[in-house]
Amino acid sequence: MELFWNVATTLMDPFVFLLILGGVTAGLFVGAMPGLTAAMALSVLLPFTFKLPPLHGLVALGAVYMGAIYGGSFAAILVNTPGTPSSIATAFEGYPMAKDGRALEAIGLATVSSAIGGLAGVFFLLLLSPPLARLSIQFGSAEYFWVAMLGLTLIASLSPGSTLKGFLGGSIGMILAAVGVAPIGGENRFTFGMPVLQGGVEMIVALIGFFVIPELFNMAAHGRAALAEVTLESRKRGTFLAALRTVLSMPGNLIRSCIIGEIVAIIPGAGGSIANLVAYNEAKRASKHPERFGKGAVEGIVASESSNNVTVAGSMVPLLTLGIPGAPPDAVILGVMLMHGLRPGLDLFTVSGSLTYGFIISMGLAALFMIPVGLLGGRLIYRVIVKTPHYLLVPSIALVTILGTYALRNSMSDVVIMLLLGTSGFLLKELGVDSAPIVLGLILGSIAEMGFVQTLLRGTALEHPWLMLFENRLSQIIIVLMVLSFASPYLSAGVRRLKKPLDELRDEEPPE
Amino acid sequence: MTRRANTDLLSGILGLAIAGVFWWGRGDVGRLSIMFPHALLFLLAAFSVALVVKGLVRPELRSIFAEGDRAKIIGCCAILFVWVLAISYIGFFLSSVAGFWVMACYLASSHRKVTPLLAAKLFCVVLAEVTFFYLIFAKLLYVPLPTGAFFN
Repeated sequence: MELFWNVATTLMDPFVFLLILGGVTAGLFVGAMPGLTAAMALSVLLPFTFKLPPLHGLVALGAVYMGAIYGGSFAAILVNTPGTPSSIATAFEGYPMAKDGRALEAIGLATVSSAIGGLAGVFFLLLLSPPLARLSIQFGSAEYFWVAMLGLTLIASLSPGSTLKGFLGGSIGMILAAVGVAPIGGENRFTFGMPVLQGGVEMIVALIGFFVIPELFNMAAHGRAALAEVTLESRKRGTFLAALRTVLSMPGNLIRSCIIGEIVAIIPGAGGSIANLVAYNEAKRASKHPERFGKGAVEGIVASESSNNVTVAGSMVPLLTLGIPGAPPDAVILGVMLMHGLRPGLDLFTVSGSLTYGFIISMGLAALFMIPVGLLGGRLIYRVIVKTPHYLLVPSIALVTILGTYALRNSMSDVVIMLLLGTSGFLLKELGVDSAPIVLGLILGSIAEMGFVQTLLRGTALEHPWLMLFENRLSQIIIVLMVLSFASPYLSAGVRRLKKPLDELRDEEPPE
Repeated sequence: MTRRANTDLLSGILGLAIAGVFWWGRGDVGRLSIMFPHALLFLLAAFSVALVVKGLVRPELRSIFAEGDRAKIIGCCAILFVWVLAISYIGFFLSSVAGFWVMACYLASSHRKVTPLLAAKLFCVVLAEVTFFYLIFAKLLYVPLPTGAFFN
């Protein structure tokens, strides 16, 4: 109880509120720019926190992190470009809604879902840290491999047309992930004699290329910006209360997405980029109207945005308890903690309890601050995009894209690669191979390879090293989930086919 | 004119070409470095062959490059490539002002006549926007943007 009052009094400081407000706003605008990631936002703001007391520094960074992950949804909804990889699935539904004059509704839903997701993440972190931390260390190399394979089952729902073309796209993405220095052997592969390819294809570079460039070409081809003027109905549905009602009307989707977000968050290296896709896939699978997905289904936005914001606080579970940063932004936060002499582990929750709990609760406050900041910021960005003539909008997006890609590694080669991948993505899209499975392959490729090769290395003493892939109980559970995930669309189609004749028979029965 | 093409066959052939290029470019590397990519290349080839077979047996005909002005796509693509390639030679600022302005004038020309007055107005907007982003990235975020030959 004394700890609670300590935390409460520490946080009831106007300066703390100002830090959270500033952090969320800064994070939101950085996240909204394609190429500028949450990790970059935290790294840039890091020097400003050096002179602050430890709690204030951590509060500011937590707020920036929360804002940046949420900010990615703005670009996803308004220009079909996920600002961060955590918002890929938001673009699938948000952009069709925006094209349909429902941009403000999509922004309202993303805002409320993100805030609820952020609060859920804090709840999990406060109450379930020890058991979740124990679960996170169960994940070895074999489990990572199977998690990546489980992720590949998403391809079926990320391919709007042919599933076969989706798998082709996924394979292309995974091969692109293999370019450069091998993660285990350390040798150069697929560099074609070009030293610039040794660093591989950066995932965000590919993400920007595959999503932004085709959209730019489409805007140029149609001679107009793609967004329609927002309708009165969308304006009404975009208010906080209306969005909250809509989000709360799908509790199953919300709870499932938050749980998925938390589970993915505690696996180091996975994070929001995978959580949003998995949650989206499950929302589509559980929906009574899966055919609406890809055309502006609100369930998709709720799933994606709630799950990705759970990962912000969720990834703090392995960080605060075991010192394992789950994602690059967590590494920055770990650095700040170590700089102030705070070591992850039990002491963090006992000796430095008021500081640690203060930081955790401040992330919940940041989630709440996202609502006013996001709703106002979203309207502002929407107005700018709609009012700008397309002949200025297209080169403006190109400029930000070039800058964002370059700033990732200060490399012009990345910009050229982005442009080449984007042009290829446009051509592939015309052939029916969507960009989403390619990017998914890129995200999962390196995780799968690392897990696969490390597991085989661990089993070199065995007669059949590959058996190591199946040895662990957790691996077996993931394999079962993977098989179910692959089979479920076919099983449900089979059940529907079986039910149809029975229903017809029942309809034909003469009334007594 | 709407063109309908056998996209199964085309994407299958493209997949096989990509698999071939990567097979050729895998380099002389050890087992640990190549075993996973090998498996991926086989998978890629298998999906491509399946698409080719589907394209021959039960093809999916889709309209390709049917929507919008194709010339604008090619024009924009060309401007974008020249813009990006010029950055290394004349620096970020000059190439971006030039690339942005040319693209804006080119896209505006499909709606209205680009008079010298409109071109000058666009130039002012472009200059202001590029300067704004240049200052944010170079001076605030300390990103070392390419300076090119003129500013060295």
